[in-house]
Amino acid sequence: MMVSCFSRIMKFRVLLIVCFLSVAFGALAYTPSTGDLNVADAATKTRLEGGKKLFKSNCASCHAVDKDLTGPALMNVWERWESEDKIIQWVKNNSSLRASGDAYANKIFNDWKGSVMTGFPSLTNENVIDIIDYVRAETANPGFLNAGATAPAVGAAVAPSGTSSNTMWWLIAALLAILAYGLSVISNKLKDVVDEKEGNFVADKRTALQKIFTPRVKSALKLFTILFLGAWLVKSAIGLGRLQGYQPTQPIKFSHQLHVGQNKIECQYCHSGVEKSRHAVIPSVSVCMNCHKYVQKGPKYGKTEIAKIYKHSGWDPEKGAFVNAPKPIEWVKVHNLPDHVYFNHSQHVKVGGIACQTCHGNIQEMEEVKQFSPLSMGWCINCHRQSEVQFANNDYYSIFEKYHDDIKSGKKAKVTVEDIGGTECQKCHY
Amino acid sequence: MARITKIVFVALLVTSLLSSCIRNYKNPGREYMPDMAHSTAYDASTLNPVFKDSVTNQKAPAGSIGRGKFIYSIANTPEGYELAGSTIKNPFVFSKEEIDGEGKKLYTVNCAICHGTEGDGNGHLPSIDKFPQPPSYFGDALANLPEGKMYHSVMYGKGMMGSYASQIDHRERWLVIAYVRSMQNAKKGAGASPVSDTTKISK
Repeated sequence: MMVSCFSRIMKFRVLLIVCFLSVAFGALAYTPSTGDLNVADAATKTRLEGGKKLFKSNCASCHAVDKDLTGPALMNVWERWESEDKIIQWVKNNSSLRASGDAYANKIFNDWKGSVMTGFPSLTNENVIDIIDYVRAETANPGFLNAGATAPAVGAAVAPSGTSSNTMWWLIAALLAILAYGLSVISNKLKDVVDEKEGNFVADKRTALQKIFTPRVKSALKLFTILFLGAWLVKSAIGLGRLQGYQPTQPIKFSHQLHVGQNKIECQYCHSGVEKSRHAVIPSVSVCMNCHKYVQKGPKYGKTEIAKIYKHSGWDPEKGAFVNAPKPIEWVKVHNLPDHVYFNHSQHVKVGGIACQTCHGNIQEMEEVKQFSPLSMGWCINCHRQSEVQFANNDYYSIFEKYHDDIKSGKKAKVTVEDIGGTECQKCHY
Repeated sequence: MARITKIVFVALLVTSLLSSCIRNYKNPGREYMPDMAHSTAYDASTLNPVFKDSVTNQKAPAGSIGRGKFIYSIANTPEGYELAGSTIKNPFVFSKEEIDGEGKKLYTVNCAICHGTEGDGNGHLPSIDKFPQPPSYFGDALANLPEGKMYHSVMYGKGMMGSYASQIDHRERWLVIAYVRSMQNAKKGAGASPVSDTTKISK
C-alpha cells in the first residue's frame, strides 16, 4: 500500500517535471516570427528600420500599430484594402482617391467623421511598402527591432548620506570610553599595590557606585545635562514651524524623477505661472491630459496612478472622450511660507534669473518632492546679502544712478540684493 | 539653591521631551501662532467653502473677457480649422529680438519636447518612444500651413497634441507661431520668405 502510494506520487512528480521541461524547451525553441519577413536577414532588417523611421516621422503623429489614435490602427491594414496599390494611392493623395469614387476610401472617411488625412506625395511607392512591411513585422512581434536593447535604468535608490560616518564616530567614541575606563581601573589597582607595599594602605569603604559618582563627577554631570538639554530645547524651538525635509504623501504618486529627470520636460511646461505671477502654479488636470490621453501606462505603477488622472479629468480611456465633469486634484502643499511673509516667484525667476534648483534642490532626482531649503528668514537674508544683481543693461534698475556711477568709477565691484533694499523689513513683511 | 536646580532640571527635561527629537517628514509638525501663519483670505489654490465646487480659482463668468484675454470664437471642428486657416491672422508686430528671445524660449519650454529643438518633429519624447512623433514643420504636412491653422491647433490641440490655451496666452501663442515661421523661413532660404505675413517686421 505504502509503496504503491509513494510510486503514484513519484509518477505525478515526474509528469509535472516533464510538463515543465517541455514548456521550458518550447519557450527556448520559440523564435520570434514577423509574418513572412525574415528579420535575421540583414537587408530586410535595414529595410524595416527604414520603414520604422518613415513611420515615426510621417504616420506616428496620428496612427499607432495596435490602437486607434487620431486615425485608425494600422494593424492588418493590408487586409482591409483590396490591394497594396490602393493603399499607396490613399497615402499619396487620399482626396483624389475619394473623388474617384473608391468605396472603401469613402467609407473610412465617413467612419472617421470626415477628418482629413494629410497627403504624402513626396513618399515613393517603395517608401509606402517599407512602412506597411514595418507595420506587418511590428504586428507579428512588437518591439522586434529593439530586441537586445537594454531597458533604461530606473534611478537607483539613493542611500541617505552621512549615516555610515556617524556610526563610525559613535563606535570610536565607545572604544575610547572603554579604553579610558580600563586604564583608570589598572592605574587604581597599581596605586593600591604601591600603597600596600609602602604600608599606608587604607581600605576604601565606599561602594562601587560611590567610587564612580564622586561629588565632583556629580556636579559635572548636572552641568553637562543642563547644557545638553538647553541646546536641544533651543534647537527644537527654532525648528518649530520650520519644515525642511517635509515630504507629504501626495494623492497621486507623480514622479519628478521620471517626468523631469528621464523625460526632460521643462519645469515651466507645467509650472507655467512661474515667470508671470507670485505662484509657480500647480498645473490643472488638463495639462496632464496633454500627454496622458496617449500615455496610459507608467513604468512603475502601470495604469493605477494614471487612472486617477482620468478620474479627475472625467476622461474615459475606453471611449476616448471626456464623459464626466472635471474635479481638481487635491495636492498637498509642500512649501509653506507663513502668511506674514510675501514671496513672489516671478521676481526671483524672471527678474533675478534664479534656477528652480537653487531653492528647490535637485527636483529632477526626486521621486517624491520634499522641501529642500529651510525657508527660514536667515536663509532668505543670507542669499539676499550674497546674491549679485545683474545691473548692467537692465532697464529695471536704471534709476539707481549712484550705483551705476560707483560701478563705472570702480568704487563698487558688484551690487547685491541687499544694496537695493533686499533686507529691508517691509520688502517681505507688509 | 538645590531646589531651584532641581526645578530647572526637570523643566528642561520635560520640555525637551515634548519638543521631540524624532521628526516624521510625512506630517508638517507643530507650529506656534498659526493665526499669523495662515492666510484668512482664501488663496488661489486653497479649498473654498463659499463656492459649491470648493475651488477658489473660479472660471470667468460666461460672456466676460478677462484683462489681456482674448475670445476665440471659431469652433473646434474640421470646418472651424479650415475657417481659421483662411481668416485668422497675426495681429501683432514682433521684433526679431522678441522672436529669437522670448519666442524661442516659449517654443523650447512648450513645444520642443515633441516637435524637437530644430522643429523636425524629433523631440526627446518621440526619440525615446514615449510619445508619437509629430510631423516635421518642413515636410509635406506642415511646410505651407497657414498661421491661422497653427493658432487653431494651439488653441484646441490637433491629433495627438493637446490644447495649450491654458499654458500660453494670446500674445505668446502668436509669438511661438512667429518663431516656428522664422524656422520654416530659414529652412526655405531667404528668397521665398513669407515673413511679412506673420511677423510684419517692415514698418
